[in-house]
Amino acid sequence: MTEQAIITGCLHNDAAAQRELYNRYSPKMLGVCYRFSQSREDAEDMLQEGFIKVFTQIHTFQNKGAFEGWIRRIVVHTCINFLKKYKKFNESVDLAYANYLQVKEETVPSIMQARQIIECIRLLPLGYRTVLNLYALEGYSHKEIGEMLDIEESTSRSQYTRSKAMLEAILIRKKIIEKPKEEFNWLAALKNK
Amino acid sequence: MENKKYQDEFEQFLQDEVKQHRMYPSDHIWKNIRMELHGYKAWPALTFISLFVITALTISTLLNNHPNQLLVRSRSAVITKVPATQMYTPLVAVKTALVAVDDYFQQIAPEQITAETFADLNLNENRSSQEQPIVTANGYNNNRFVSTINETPADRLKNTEKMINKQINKQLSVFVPQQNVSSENTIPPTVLEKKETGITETNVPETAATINESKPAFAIELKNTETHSTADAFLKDFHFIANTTPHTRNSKFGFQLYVTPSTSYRRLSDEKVKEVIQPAAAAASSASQIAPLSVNYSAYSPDVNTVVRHRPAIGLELGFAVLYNMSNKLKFKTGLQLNIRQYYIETFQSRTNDLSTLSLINYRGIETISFYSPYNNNTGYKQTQLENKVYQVSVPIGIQWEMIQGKHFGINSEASVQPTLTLNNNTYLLSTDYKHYTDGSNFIRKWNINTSLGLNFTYKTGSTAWQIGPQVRYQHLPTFSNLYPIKEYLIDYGVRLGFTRQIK
Repeated sequence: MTEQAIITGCLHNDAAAQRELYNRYSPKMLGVCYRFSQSREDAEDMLQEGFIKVFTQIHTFQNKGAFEGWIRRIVVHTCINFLKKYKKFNESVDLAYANYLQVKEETVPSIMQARQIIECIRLLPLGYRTVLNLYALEGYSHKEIGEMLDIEESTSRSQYTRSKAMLEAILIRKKIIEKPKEEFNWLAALKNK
Repeated sequence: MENKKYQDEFEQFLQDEVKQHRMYPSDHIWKNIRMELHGYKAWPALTFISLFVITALTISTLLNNHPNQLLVRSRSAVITKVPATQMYTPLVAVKTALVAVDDYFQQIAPEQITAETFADLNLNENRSSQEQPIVTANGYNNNRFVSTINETPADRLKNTEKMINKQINKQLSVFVPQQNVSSENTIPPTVLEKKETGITETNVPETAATINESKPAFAIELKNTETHSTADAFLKDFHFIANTTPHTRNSKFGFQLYVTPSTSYRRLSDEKVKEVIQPAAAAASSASQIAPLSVNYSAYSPDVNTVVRHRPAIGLELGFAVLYNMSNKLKFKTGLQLNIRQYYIETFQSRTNDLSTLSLINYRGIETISFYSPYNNNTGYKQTQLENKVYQVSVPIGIQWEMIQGKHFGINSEASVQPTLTLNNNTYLLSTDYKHYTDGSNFIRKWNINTSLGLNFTYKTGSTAWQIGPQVRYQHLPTFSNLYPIKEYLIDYGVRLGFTRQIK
């Protein structure tokens, strides 16, 4: 079934088209929800809410841009709203916190690298994780993130910087990425002598 | 949105690794979404069962309590129970009722005329004019029946027949045994009435006066006794009422309640898959040299009946039927039937939701739907079984043929065509690559046609009969719509237990 046929079917509230749309996009969208959520159950709740919005708001899709992108934005906004109900995003966590994170072997399954990375992202504090997801993976600007999360733009920037550093530290400790070798600074060495 | 993609290596790394990551949601998520969008799909079977039971009870009650049948029953009861001393007691009531029913003379119906009527008619005509007008002689004179004096004897007799029949139907205790009449027919009924009921002329002056000036209320019987010389003729006339109402003969209608425990088997046909879908997939594959994952048909695919593992389960038919006797041996039969059909599909549960395909044939060509299913037909981490259970309501229309009919035991055969409505749609269907099972609710056929054949051994006592016998029911149209290329035809084998009652 073509994408246009699915959209048309969904516009007519056709259950088969809706099922097809769900089958096509739900795996990827659940991955998005999972990155934002604390648990798989929460992620599925977000997904469910997101797809209900997709089906009920599909008449607002105007064929400008990718359909998947439109769905993704709805799902991301649903995730943010879900998290907003319970959490605050302007929490500040010291970078040193990353050193105390107990990353046990069983916490991060070694099935595949992508999954490992996602599990590492989910180890981050909520505010860091949300900003990192939105900025690095979903492509939102700090201004947009500030509006979405009701925080200052500068807060979003600082949160992202810290979250990025924290995630790098975790990934290095997990040996998913290597610690970048520092270039030998000849000038500094000479000065020290 | 700020375009900051691949701002640095780390972000690019995250994008590459994470963005295409997929996870598969649980089954209940889609069910919740569907319920949210389309509402709760209430199972209407309870409503249908209630409706069915109410209808069955109503019809059986109506058929069983036919007015004629009530009449016959109560009449016989009265005749046997009323003592002779009270025979004349309701006479006043009879007269009162007669006065109130003057319409009857405008409603004379030919069906009230019997053989005895014509016999009397001939007899009366032979006696010509010397006979007293029956009605006026009966005392119901005055304004109401005067006109009958000028009628011919035949007309008068008809009117009288009608009137007396009606009154006997209404006031049953008017029946008098032969011995009572013969012994008392010389006594004026007024005297009897007064004597036995204590009714005085002052209490009921009009009635008493009317009766006094006329022949007894049993004039019709007494009249006939005067004309018959033999006891047989007298008896014949005296049983006149019973002969004029031949209600003891059975009606042509009967009703039947039955239940049929059955097992459901199925026959699958994959001609469309082999003739249309597989060649198309092969052509597409050779053209592109890249066969899509989801349409990965092998060059040889076995017959679908050998691929699936079917396990029959016990189902049920519950029905009510009305039978109409077309002849002594042939009966027309129709009614309402509830069917519960079920069977199990043995399959495997896989740890992940696997991608599979459903190719559909429609007027535009072949459409392919991809879906994720945890039910693998061939492999998995544990064995499981899926239940396909449907509830149906059907209207069987058929005939029943009495093959052998003894005094008590007999054998009959029956056949029916059954337009069938499927009430629920939670069924599973096989993917067109034969590898997975998925939800088939969107493809189920709402209306179908079944035929049924059965042989019954009957035991009959009076107007009721019990029956037991084998039955086969075949579903003519596939369970799923024409879009789905694998055709499923259900066959049920069962044993029918039934109870039939002939309406009198």
